[in-house]
Amino acid sequence: MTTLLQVNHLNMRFGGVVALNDCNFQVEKNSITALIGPNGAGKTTAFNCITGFYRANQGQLHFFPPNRPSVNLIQLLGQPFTWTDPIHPRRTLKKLGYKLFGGPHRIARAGIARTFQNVRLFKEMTVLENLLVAQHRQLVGHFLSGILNAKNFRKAENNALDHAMKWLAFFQLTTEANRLAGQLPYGHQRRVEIARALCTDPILLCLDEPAAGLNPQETKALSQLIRRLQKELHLTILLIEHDIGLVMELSDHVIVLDYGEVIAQGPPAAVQQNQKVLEAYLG
Amino acid sequence: MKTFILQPLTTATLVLILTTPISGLVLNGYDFNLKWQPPLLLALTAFFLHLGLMILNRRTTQKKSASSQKTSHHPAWPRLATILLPLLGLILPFLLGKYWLTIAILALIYILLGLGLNIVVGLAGMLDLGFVAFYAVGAYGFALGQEYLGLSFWAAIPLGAVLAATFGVILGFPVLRMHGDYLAIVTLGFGEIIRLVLNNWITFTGGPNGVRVDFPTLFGLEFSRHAKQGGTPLHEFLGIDYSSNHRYLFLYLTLFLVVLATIFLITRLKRMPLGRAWEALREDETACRSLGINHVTVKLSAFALGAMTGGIGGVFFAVSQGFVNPTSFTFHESALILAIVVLGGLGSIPGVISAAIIVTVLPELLRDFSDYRILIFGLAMVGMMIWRPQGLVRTTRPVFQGL
Repeated sequence: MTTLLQVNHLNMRFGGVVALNDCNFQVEKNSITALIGPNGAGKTTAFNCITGFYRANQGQLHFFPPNRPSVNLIQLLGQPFTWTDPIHPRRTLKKLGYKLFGGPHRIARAGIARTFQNVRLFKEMTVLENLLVAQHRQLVGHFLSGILNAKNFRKAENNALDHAMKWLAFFQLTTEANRLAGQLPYGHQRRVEIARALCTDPILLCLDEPAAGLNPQETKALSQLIRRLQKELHLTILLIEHDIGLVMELSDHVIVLDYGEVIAQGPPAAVQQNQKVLEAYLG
Repeated sequence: MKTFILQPLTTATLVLILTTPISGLVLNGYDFNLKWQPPLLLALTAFFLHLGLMILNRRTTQKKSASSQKTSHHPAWPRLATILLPLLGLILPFLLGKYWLTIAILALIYILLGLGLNIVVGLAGMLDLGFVAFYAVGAYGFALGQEYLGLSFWAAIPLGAVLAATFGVILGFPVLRMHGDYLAIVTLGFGEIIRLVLNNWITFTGGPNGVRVDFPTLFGLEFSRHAKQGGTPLHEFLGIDYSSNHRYLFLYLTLFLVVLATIFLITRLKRMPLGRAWEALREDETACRSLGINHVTVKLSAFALGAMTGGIGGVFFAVSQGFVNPTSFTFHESALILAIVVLGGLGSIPGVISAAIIVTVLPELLRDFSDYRILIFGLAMVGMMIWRPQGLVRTTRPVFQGL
């Protein structure tokens, strides 16, 4: 087992509120890791730090994509300038570059895709367009040929469509391809969002409460799909979930957060017996 | 089928009832004469407009899959119209008098401005209340460039576009993090700053006195009756009689080509990754960033392209007026362009075009009762928001077939 994501001493404060306090955990490659904990434990904050929507106050986040150099996720977001900067002009220039062009999109490009707790689809666009937007990076290069509608643009566009249709077929959404995303039933919207995240060809997929608002059948179907993603497509999945049944069934590794601290981690069966976890959940 | 007659007929009757007292009754001393032609004409226009809209709507709601192409789009603009309308636009100026020709030029300029703002507001979803700034940059860029550097009209079109795009990026950078109301206020301020600078930097811009703009030449041929510095006037070169219409014809045709090119460009962009990214940004910025789209470049490109179109509009405005001064670039103008975009339907190209034509041509048709112009405009706006909140022409999403 190799580590894909290493979280070291992660600290996140919002004013006086300590949302994350010295969190340490790691996500193994090709595993399903679940992040659980009571409400307000800091799960989504940890998620937002990993995917770059928050900049952690302290700590390191290292991402080790296979066959590629490792990525310092915090550096990608751009670091604040300090008074020592003038002494290191090269470092300062690098900082400036990240400051101007850094941000969560760089993390997404590094291979971390995410979904959101409250579904964030492009509601006024069709399902297929949603998936095409996710492939923006692969397509945007063809600017001039796009204006002229040249052959290589059409080819790239058709490839993107095929790619999108592949994921829609995986999630059994082929019939909805041309419908407006906002008009789909909630369960379908959730699946479209996961399909959209997958269209970016991620290495690590972060799912924020994928089963929220789904009925038991849908939850079951979803857990099978997630399992297939890991088994057949060798993706690594990090998920937040409240449905303990789903977590116990799916995950290889469980991390329990409470008041911003990791109180337990390990295989699901071990975590279930942990005294601290029982206390946190039962109050 | 019945509704296709009945609904437009109702509209026509309403228009007749509304306009008869306003335009049908002409005061004659203490008496008045009843004139039937103007209200009837208006009613007839309303009838056909309504009918046209209904037909257009029916086409957009029908989902037909005729073509085998993988990325074919809805025939929202029926194919025939895309050939006929440009042809009509090309023939039109030869049938018009000078007065209507100038109005047609104005309408084209507003189409250009509407298309530009449509990128920023309609597609990228950034409420820009200071769009007139780019219009002013284009117009003054040409006027001052000509005065100080001897810039020619042909060079001014690309340079004006580049200059306006630069200003767009300059405005874009500080407002990257803003949304909605805050963005609107900052852009409003930017528009006023440009106007106030133009108004007060008297040594450079001439202040309220404005700047004179010479009419361009076509391959060195002038459009005046007698050539100024030993050049040849166009009519002598072609061996035809002099007509003051020629210069407007020339301007119309040039502008028409530019508008066509812009429409083509924007239609293409809408189907390209960049256009899709603009719309995605309008829908949800956070989701966009989570998909690896750099919101900075996407937003700036929308600002720059919108401003560019506005800048080109400005260059043509300067030429058509022969003179620019800051009073042409007030907030009123921004509001009018925004009204065009909203009336037409956010993001819809045919909508913006029809709205621009309506907004410029209708006031001219209604000159007889110009006192009520703003009233009617306001009523039309309120009516639109109630009955067609999505604008004259609804945007349609591309449909992908054969998958």
